[in-house]
Amino acid sequence: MPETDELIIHKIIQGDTGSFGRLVERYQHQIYNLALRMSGHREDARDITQETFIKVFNSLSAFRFEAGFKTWLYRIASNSCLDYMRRLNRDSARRIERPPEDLPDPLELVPAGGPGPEESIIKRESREAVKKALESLPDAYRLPLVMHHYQGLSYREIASVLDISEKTVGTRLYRAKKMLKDCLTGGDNGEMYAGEKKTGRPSGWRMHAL
Amino acid sequence: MRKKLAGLLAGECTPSEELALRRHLGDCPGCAGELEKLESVDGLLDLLEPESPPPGLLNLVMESVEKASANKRRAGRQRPAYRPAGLIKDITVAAAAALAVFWLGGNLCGPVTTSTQGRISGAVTSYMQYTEAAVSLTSQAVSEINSDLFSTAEKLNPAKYETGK
Repeated sequence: MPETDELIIHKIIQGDTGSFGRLVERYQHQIYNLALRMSGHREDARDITQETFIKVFNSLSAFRFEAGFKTWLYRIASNSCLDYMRRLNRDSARRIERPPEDLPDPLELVPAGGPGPEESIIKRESREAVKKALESLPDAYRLPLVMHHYQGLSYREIASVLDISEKTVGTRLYRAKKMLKDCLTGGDNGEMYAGEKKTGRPSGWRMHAL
Repeated sequence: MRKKLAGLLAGECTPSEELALRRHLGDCPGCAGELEKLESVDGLLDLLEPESPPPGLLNLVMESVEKASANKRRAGRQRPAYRPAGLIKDITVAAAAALAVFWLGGNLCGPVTTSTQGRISGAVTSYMQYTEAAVSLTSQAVSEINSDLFSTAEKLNPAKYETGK
């Protein structure tokens, strides 16, 4: 039976620093992907994840056991993401100089018997467009969307992390998806590439405000 | 109604809400189209697949944590709540100061002596003189206070003290 988060935390507080590695191993994938979807860059995601876990370690003595560790961790991670991005926005020079994220070469992604090179290139472009559209969302909408869609957090968990009502979570998710749809297709009159959800270039493909 | 569509896709509706929404969707092409578009957005979001954290991330975090932990321990050693070494030092200084006062007391207030015996004798004599003078002053002050208190009490309640006389 795996150790509960709370038991591991007790051990760490009592001086067993090594046990912290088990918590990191348990959650690093989720926190890294949250940071990746929020920042859009692997290097930033690595820094945010590292910063998050260090903050968690330094604040463990303040952790109240009646609150779930996962909620607490996500709260710290969300704040780390927002702080990091604020710092990055202030440092505008760095933002300009930042090279685009190196996505894998589409030709390398083509498996034998899989989609052809052209289809792979289209898929890669689609991915890049979705990534940019996601980055263009305001933080208040992007955070719940990422937590829900990519992390599988329930409305209740997101509400607890962000300290908002479940109804607000639902509203923000709906608006976030509407914004994404508008961003990718050009509003209600734009044609989404429905029916070509995962492959193919959409007709009416537009990227606004990116 | 449309805002609930995202909840429907997320599986966050209660059974009764879901039933009502499904009924509505059958009658409302606008909402049905909206649901389809929201589903398409979910499909687009799925294009971004989860990635594995960089291999060295765990070690990087643990190195930082170990460093932070060592700093905490070092800071704790530098500022202990109880400092036995410091306490002993303080007591020693106080004892040396007291000895110096006694030692010099004879010289400052009595005849100039250079021999150790003379110094000790002077210090003890000074000590005795000052102690005697201090005891005498204290005794005199206590007697005066008693006398004042008695006079005040007598003035306030003369009958009580008349019988006693």
